[in-house]
Amino acid sequence: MNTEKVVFAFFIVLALTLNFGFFLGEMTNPEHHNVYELFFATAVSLIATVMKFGDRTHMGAILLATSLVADLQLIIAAVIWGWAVHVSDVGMDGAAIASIVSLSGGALLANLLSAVLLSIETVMIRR
Amino acid sequence: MNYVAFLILRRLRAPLIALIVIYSVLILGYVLIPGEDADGNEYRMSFFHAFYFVSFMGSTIGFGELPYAFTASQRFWTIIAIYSSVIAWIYSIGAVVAILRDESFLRLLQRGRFRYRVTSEKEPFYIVCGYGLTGSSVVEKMTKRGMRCVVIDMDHARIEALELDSLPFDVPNLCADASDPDILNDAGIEHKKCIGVVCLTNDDHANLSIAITSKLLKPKRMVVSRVATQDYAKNLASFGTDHILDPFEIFADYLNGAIHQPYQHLIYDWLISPEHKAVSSAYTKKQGMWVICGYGRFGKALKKRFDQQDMSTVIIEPKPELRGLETTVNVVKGLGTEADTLLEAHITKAVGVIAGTADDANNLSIVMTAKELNPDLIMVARQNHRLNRSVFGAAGIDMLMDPSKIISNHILALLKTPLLIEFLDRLAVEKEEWSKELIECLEALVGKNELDSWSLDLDKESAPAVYEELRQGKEITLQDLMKHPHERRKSLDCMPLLLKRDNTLMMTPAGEMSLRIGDEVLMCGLSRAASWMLWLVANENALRYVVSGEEGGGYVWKHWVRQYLGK
Repeated sequence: MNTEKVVFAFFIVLALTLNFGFFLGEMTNPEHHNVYELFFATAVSLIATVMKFGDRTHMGAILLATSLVADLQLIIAAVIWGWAVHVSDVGMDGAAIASIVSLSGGALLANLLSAVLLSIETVMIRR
Repeated sequence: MNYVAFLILRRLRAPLIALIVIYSVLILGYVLIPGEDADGNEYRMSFFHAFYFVSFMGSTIGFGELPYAFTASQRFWTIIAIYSSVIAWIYSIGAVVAILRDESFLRLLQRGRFRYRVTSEKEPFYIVCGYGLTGSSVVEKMTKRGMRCVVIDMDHARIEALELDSLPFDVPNLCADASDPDILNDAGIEHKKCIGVVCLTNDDHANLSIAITSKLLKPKRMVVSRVATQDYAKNLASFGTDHILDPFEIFADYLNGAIHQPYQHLIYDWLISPEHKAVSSAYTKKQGMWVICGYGRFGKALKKRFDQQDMSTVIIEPKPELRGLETTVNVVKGLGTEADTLLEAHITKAVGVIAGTADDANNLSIVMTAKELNPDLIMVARQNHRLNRSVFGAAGIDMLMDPSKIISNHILALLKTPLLIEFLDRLAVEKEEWSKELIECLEALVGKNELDSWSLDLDKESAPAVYEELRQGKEITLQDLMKHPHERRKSLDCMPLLLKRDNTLMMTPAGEMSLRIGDEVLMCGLSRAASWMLWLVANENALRYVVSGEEGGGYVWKHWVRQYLGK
């Protein structure tokens, strides 16, 4: 058992599940989407990215790319949230939460891809 | 991406994760801990404000308590936040600084830079492995002649010495084991501009593996290797190493030449070494009995040649049994540093003494004692360490055997121009009278200055002006090229030694000879003549002027120069 792999898999899957939890719910209803979940999803996703730094394998490079995509989407979602609540005149409305949720949906896809790649890598090793 | 970037990123993992975790915990804390607004109502910080506050606090900017004055519980959390974020930053910055000062990181960085410099090399270059006494002197002479080289040495101190030696070019260098194929690859052994490999490490085995690597990759590329034992010399020869240099064998040949063909030997000496002997040295009597002190590798190489010429020798050796010598009349047991031993070896009847032991102090003692017993002796001594050069110089030795100097002079002669080696091969079969005439010409030409040699290739690249004139059917003689490009009545201080035309060699061609495209000429003379001549063959106006006296592109300064040279 490789401890590094365990920790990495933990963070990849945790990022995926948190993101999924945030994504669940009605698109335009802010009540259904918890800001804490977005916060944790972003933090965990960042950690997963850093853990792939300096991996020279091809799989490592692809995993770094997918988790960078997830980071980018989640950070933009967080920025929109902050803007909607504190800056915009209308406040948090259906349109704002819809774009936040759809961005997190994109990140979810990237997280899912990471998890699939990780599974493929594991299967290849175990063969 | 290269190794360096990966290494940095890998080392940055822990500090970055620490920063992310601490920031997340702090932000979360501010969001969860209740505060009060200006009117005393309960208020929760949003993530936006918490991130803003932690960001400026963590970087110790400190705008104050925002957006409202903090409650006691918030301040309590702030104390924790201040210390933990400062510690996280110190840890991260410390990790980055540690990477930058890390030995293995610096080595990777140096190697990356070295690889980059070699890859971007556009001119033909040589790889020199080993920067010891011989290596440094070879590299210095090569760079002075404008040849590019790349240096690898295992010893850190030597690479530092290279950086301090003020060489005319920037020489890419790396501190690494040259017998490692990866290192050789970085040094450009597969680079298409690499025209030769020179193995000068102290380890015969390393030299062998470098030579093999080069020969396997490019069989036609020149490989020159120094060697200390005959086993390795045979091994190197077995796969076609072009030049195998054993200092003892070279010096034994050299001494043999000096004894039997003094004039031919002088020509060789003048062409190979920068400080050459006076012509008068050829008159000394050298035939007769010689005393050899020390029967190691050097002694054996000398004895072999003396035996071939049927010259009598007496060997003085402290341990004759160990060296496989039978104790006959011609072998004396002892060091040779005492008068008794030397007298027993009939030093008074000998013409010369060779102090060839591996100890410099003993060698000096041998020649000094022998000189006292027989003042007419020719003294030959082996110098083992460069530091003793001045001592040996003061001892008035006739012939000094300095291995590093022999090897470096020889290598330079090999690299200067391949024609020189062809000339020396042909010289070996010429008669002594012929050699005597030539050495007298050379003496008249350069006197006591260094005799330089260079080759002229009459092709489109090296001599465009000559090529163009010859192509148009004009006649150019060797003599024309030896005229001063600014004053054709003056000639340059040089003479032709060899002309190679369609694989036939002509020794000392006459000046009236007309040239053809594709000719290769070996010239010798003063080095300043070389630069004039190489300029002349590339410059059409100058060439037309020396051939026919026609002025082309009349520069005013040319007129002045001519006036200055003419009077």
